[in-house]
Amino acid sequence: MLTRDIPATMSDEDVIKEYLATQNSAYFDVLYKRYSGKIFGKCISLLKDEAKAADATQEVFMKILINLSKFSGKSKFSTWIYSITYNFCIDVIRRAKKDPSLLVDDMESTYDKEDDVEDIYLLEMKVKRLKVILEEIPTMDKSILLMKYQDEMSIKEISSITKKSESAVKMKIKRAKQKFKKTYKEVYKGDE
Amino acid sequence: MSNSFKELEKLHEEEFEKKSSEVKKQIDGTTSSYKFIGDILDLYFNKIVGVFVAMTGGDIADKSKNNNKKDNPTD
Repeated sequence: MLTRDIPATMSDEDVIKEYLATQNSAYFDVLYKRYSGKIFGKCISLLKDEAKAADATQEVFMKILINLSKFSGKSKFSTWIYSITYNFCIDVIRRAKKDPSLLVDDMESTYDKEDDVEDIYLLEMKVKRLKVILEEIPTMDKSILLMKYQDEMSIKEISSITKKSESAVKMKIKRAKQKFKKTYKEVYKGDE
Repeated sequence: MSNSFKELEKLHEEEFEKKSSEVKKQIDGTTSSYKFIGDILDLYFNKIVGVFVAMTGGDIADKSKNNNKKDNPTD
């Protein structure tokens, strides 16, 4: 069977079932086509380097391939693979000790006293500027914002990936938005 | 409402199209290597166990004799 013989409407879960039953690589190719670009996007946002992001995409797919039989279907397949992607990239950054904010859990923050930032502020921003600000803010804030606004994950899903309570996740989102706005104002001073 | 995060994701996906086949080739290469190692282990696993048993002082010959006896009821 070839990749083109597999209907585009076939759900991820069915593709996985068929792959595990037949070990036909055409099914894995379908998953690769559906998700490789998205995984690369997350890797490049977090690792800030094209070559490293390509290597990370390869390694994430190897992890997916090796652990595919462990996918229980309790969460969406996309949530499962994005969870592998975020954890992999955060681990790479942590090992390289490139972001000290990953070494401490900032439960105490001055941002709490500031006002909430509206979603529209982030969602309607020019893409070029969004890219710049995402490169400036700490990894954990960036990951949380990507999970919420790019992957449209629920608080519960983010909570299971980050292994934090739902209330802690809500707080982290609030702080990440505030950090985003503060950074934007610093970078584009007098440009609003 | 527009979503700049989704637009950024699309940009990255387009950027990846140039690299996609190269990354896929590397994944296929690694997968083939894993499969090859798996096949080799599958093929020689019994022999490796035998060597290990022999190295630790066991007797593989006796075991095969017993197996032959079982296979041949006329003995």
